[in-house]
Amino acid sequence: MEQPLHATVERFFDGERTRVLVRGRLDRESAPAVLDWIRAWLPKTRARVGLDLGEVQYLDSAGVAVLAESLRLARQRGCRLELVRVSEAARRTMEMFRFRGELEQAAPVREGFLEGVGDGLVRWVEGAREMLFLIADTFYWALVGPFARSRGAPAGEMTRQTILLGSRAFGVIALLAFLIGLTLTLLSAHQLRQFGANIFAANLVAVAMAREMGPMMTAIIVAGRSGSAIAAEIATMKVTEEVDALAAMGFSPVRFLVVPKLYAVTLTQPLLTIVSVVCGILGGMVIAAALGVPPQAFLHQATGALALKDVSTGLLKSLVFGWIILVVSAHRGLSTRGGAEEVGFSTTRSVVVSIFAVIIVDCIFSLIFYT
Amino acid sequence: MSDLLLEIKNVSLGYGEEIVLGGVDLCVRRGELTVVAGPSGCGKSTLLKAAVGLLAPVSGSVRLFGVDLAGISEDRLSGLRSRVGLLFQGGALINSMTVAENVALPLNQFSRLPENVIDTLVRMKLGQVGLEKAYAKTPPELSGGMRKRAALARSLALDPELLICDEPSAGLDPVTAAGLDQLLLDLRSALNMTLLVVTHELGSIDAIADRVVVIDNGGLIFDGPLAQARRSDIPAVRDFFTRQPPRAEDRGKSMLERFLKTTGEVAS
Repeated sequence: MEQPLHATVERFFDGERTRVLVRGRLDRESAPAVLDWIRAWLPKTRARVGLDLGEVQYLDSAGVAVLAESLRLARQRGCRLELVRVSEAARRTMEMFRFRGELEQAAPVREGFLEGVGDGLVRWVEGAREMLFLIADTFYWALVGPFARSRGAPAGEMTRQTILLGSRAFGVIALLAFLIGLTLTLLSAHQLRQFGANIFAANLVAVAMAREMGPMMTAIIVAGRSGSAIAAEIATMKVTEEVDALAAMGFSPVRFLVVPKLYAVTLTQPLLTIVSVVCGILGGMVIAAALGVPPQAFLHQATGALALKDVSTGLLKSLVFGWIILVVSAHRGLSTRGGAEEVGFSTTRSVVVSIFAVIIVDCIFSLIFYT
Repeated sequence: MSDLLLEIKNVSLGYGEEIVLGGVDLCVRRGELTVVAGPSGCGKSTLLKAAVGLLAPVSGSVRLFGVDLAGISEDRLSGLRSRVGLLFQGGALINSMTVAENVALPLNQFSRLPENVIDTLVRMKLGQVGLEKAYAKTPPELSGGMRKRAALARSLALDPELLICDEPSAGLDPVTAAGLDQLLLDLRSALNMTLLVVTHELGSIDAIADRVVVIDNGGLIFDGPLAQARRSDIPAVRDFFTRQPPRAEDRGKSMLERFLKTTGEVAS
């Protein structure tokens, strides 16, 4: 059986105007039906209509919201909806919400297109400026810090960060590089076989891993697992005022939080890249063996193909990528404002922006080194 | 040396384009215990941040120990801050470090004391706030009140000349809160510490304040001795000290009456 409505609505002419009489409990249960009724019936002319709440025994917040909506509707349709009588119970609730016929809503400020573009530009320039300051600060303290009289982060922080950023990432990078080397060899061997040049798959894998795939894949994995962790850590500290507390105690937050990570990343990023290059070539060797190329021949071919320039550009790139990830993540973390949900937002942004920046810088590097 | 530890002159503060506080003047003299009171969200914490240069004022000047904070070098600012203890509202302990390491942080930064002396000092400071047992714990393992006391121990580490506390007793049980008030008073009498305390606990204000500053509606509305604040006839100050609920806005009622004006009847 359908639940009986708590409120009843009737309409009559009281000699002066049409009056809508609401009886009973105007609450969360009955409010939608009452609103439907009023919406269906409210005239679209400039008529006067009375809303009689004299028989309302109970009014809750949903009821008040419905009244506000009805009045808004009336104004929209051009008729005059007036409260005629208000029962004591209804009056108490309305006063509690300071109901004034409409609940004040701050009109959302719609900004124009140009305003939006200008605003975005200003924010972007501001962000870029902050980033430059952060870069300057970070490298200043990284170089000057060890010789300064005041202290930075506690001893052992760099070791801790190195373990966090380096050895913890070792496994996943080694495994993924192995699989990428394997896939790359399989793909190229399949193509090269048509020319009977199977063995040159080794050259391709070695050069590709050392120059491009190694630094790039390592950077992307580090951005995903360590960059996000850095952004989340610093953002959380920002939100809980820990960063302010450090500043208030006379520490430079950049020196305390970012510089140990810079040392760590400077050490770990090239090492991880070497790991990924080696594992990639090993992956290639395994699949080549399955395709009939003896491992010794593959390794000989691969190492012979690598020029010093391939290796050094790869390592230089990896270093720059590591720094980019660190600075971007630290910047996102430090510019976090507000509450806990902002931490998640900053973390996501740090990963997206650092991968984006890494790929763009990689393009620039390719242009510099290959043209 | 000047008697004025903190001099805030005609300062306006805000975040972005929003101004939270405007035209504030506030001086803190040596040895005084000033309480900053006012309703939640009126900008008390913002004022404290500006006092130590964590937030640059939109206009006006802040002088800490007689030095203008505008355009001051990081080194100089860091030196000034070492003479100020700041207790944050949420404690702001470094969560990745133990309580002891947190308390030792400022000691390591600003003193050349040997490790074991620092350790003794840390234990003394923790004893002062009744947290000897939390020595090796990390902040997330502590209760809210314990975190606050640990943070107080940290801000006391360097025996600062000026101790600034943001709601030290909020969220504490009455006994612990009273103990904390007593501790603040002891610090003042024993070490001649100057205190600037933000609180809206009436009990605390009565127990500790020499002088009360009341902030409301984006500005400073009262500055004077506690007794005078108690007798004040400024409505917002009187309401604060007598725990009056905010006045029902007369607007609300009159609007309701305006809707009723056609017939004017109110059924009962």
